[in-house]
Amino acid sequence: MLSDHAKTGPAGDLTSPAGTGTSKDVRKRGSRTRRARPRPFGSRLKRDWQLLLMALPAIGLLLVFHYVPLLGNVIAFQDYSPYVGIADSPWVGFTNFQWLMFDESFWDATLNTLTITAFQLVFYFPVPILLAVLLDSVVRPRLRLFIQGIVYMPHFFSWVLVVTLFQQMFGGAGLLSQTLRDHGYTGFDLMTNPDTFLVLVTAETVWKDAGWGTIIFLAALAAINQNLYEAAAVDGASRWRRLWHITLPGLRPVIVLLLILRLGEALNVGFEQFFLQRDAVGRDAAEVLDTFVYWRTLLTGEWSYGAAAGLVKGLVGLVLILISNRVAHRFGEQGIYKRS
Amino acid sequence: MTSRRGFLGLVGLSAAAVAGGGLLAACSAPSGPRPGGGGATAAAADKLTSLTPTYTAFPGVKPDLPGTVSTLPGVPDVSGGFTSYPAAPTAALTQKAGKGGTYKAMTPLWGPPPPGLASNSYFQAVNADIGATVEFQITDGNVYGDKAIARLAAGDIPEIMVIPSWEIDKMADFNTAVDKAFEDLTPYLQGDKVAPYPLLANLPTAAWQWSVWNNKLMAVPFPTEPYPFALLYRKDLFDAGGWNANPKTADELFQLGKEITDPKAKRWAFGSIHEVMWPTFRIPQDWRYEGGKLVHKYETPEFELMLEFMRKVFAEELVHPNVAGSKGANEKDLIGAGQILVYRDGLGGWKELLQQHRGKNPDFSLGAFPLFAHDGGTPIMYHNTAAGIFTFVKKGLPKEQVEEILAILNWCAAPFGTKEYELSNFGVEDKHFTRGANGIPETNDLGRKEVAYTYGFLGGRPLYVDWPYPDAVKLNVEWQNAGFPFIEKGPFDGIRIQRPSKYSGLQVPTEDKFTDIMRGRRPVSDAKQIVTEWRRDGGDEARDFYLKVLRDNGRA
Repeated sequence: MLSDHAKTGPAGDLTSPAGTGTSKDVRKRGSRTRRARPRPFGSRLKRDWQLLLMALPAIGLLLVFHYVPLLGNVIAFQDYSPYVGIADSPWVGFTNFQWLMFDESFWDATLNTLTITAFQLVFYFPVPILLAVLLDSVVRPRLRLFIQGIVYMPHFFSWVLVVTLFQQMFGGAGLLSQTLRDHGYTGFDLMTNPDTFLVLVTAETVWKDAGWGTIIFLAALAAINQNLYEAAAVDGASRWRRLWHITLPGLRPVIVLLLILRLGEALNVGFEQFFLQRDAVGRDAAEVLDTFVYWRTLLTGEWSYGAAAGLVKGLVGLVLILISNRVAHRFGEQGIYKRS
Repeated sequence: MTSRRGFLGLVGLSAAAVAGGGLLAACSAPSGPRPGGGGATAAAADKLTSLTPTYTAFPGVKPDLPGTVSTLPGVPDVSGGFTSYPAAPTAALTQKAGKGGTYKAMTPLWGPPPPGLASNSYFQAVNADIGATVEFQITDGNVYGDKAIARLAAGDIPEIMVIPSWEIDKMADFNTAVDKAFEDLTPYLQGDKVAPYPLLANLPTAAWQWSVWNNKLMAVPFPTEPYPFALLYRKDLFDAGGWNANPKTADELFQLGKEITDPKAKRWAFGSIHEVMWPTFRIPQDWRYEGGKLVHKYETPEFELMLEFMRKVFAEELVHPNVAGSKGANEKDLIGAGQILVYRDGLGGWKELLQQHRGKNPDFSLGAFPLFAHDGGTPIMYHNTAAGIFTFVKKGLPKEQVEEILAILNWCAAPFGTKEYELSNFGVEDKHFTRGANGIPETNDLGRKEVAYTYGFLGGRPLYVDWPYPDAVKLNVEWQNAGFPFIEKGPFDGIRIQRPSKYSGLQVPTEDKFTDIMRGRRPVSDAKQIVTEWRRDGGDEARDFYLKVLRDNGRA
């Protein structure tokens, strides 16, 4: 390191005459040296050490809680037993993945997950946007705050509570069923019907999270230049025209960003909601990848198999992110990252 | 910026490679068994006797309702019951059990959790009497296995850990886990070494035999009653409603269900009952040995009949919607509220229900349906093995601590009629309970809040029906004695078997599929397909293992 520094030191000095260290010059010189040769490590460190120091805690956090645990994924290639440890468990190559490919319950779970994602993309994703636009149109600040408070609240309820609430409302012994029975109709049980499960979980998600989801859209709405609306109104644009030509285009980058993030999470539909309701409607409707991994790993002790399923899930998620990001670029949007 | 692009390219490439690998793999069926299968062993219980502690009976009170002495190998006795409470319970131990140590103990509880040690005068009083601090980590009994397996895998073991045998049956690789996690108690308890723990020496030898893993005495057993479960019903409501509490066939049970169920009145006949329907349809408890072949319970024609019956029960909506509709439904509350009238529970649940509800509702009473077979013929009933719950001690504790823990377990093993038993079951007199008529302790409000069955799970004691409800004791002992002749004799009785891991692991996924049939989500004809999958995924392998056990023991 030291000798490196010594060697490249003079060359660095040649391109930067002492005493001309204005910010403009530094930038110019920086770009020039990058093309020719990287700036010496020591001087970069000297320049950036405060920034690095500030990033250190975050990097540490990532390392300890993300990257180091990631190494545990090697058990997917082992016949792993937690009682024996990673070091002593036998290696089995891709055997777990091979079994996974032939496991119909794995594919059922994958299909369920994708179906639920697709359904929620259509029936859940737009709800917060609509709600945000509606909220934004409420003029009286007190009323608006009041409504916001109410729609945010369910987000803080646990899934157990949400499912119980739905059970008490729409279950076979729920309020709605009992009321119907009291008036001479037959009751119904929404909670155990696998055919309507998709609607049920989406309804639960909307109830719980749609309000919370508006926050980011409300922020984006606030950033839209109000002069545009005034100008459009002066030109005689109707409410709908203003929505279509000003509000929605203003929201577009945020919508696309969230859409990509959602697609990357396509195989993550949540665990608890499905875990709680799986037995009621059965595996065929409610087994998603996360519950599959849970049932295969924790309950039966097949840790390696569960890890293999988790890895496949992660890889599919990555591919989806890459694809949707590419699509976003096509449409001229920023996406979540951009090649330079 | 090149580096990031390079990195992403690399990741993309490897993702494609792995996806490709998966596709390649999809072209060729995997050969050989799936990874994951720990060792399984079997030993005739009588050969394990050299490891067990020497039995010394504790001279205590004798039950006034006689039980039934078991003549079936590996099947526990019906121990009899007490309908009266001894006038002056005596102390079983003359010395303090503990030496001031502090230990964490993980125990299950089927019911509302009590306040923690710091704000629970019952825990404090018992700990003071023991002379050591036991701090309980109480976990919901319904999900106990999930928690226990996670803690075992993580190596996060409390000093004292209670694991029920039915949870162990579902765990893969427990044979390895038990060695890694828990202390070998053989050097402390084998033969006459048990002398410092006279109340542990009072536990039946058969129960100790079931506490052996890998030829080591690993746990202190909790002796059980012979029956894993019964069909319990709300006797008071049945009497009031004039319903038939003695159905003789599956059809009569079904009709009874239809009669009782009235959603308008918020009343459903059943909670979960299907496990009791297994013996009712004469499905073998595990395997049936006939004509030189082992037939698993899933493979019997009776099993399909049971599925059909349960399907009918669900289709008619005779099961409470909350039980059918969510995981967290609390059947004991629903029974208490009279929203469910019949459900399956262990006989211990009977007592817990009385404790929970009789205080608020003095009329609350339960009964158990007499055993019956689906077709009205001779019924069969399953049996427990000699130990139902085990208490393990964490591995690697210093000798003095292991000895102190065993002394605590010895305290907890004090049988009915002793001062220790009274304290552990009812708390402190005039604080948690008062003596009612006939001297039977009656729990008061503070007792109901603070006294939870915790110390009782540590170790075990000869299992009498010693509930403070003489009417229920009588019904229970009568039911147990009447059922004993119908206990099914299995091909493996008396053989201590550590189940093959893969066979254990198969249980939950396979029974999930059968549940789909019962709930009407798959046709009954799919049962054959499910059995085929079960055989492929390890069922046949297990059959070979079990057949070998029979041969090794000269039974096949």
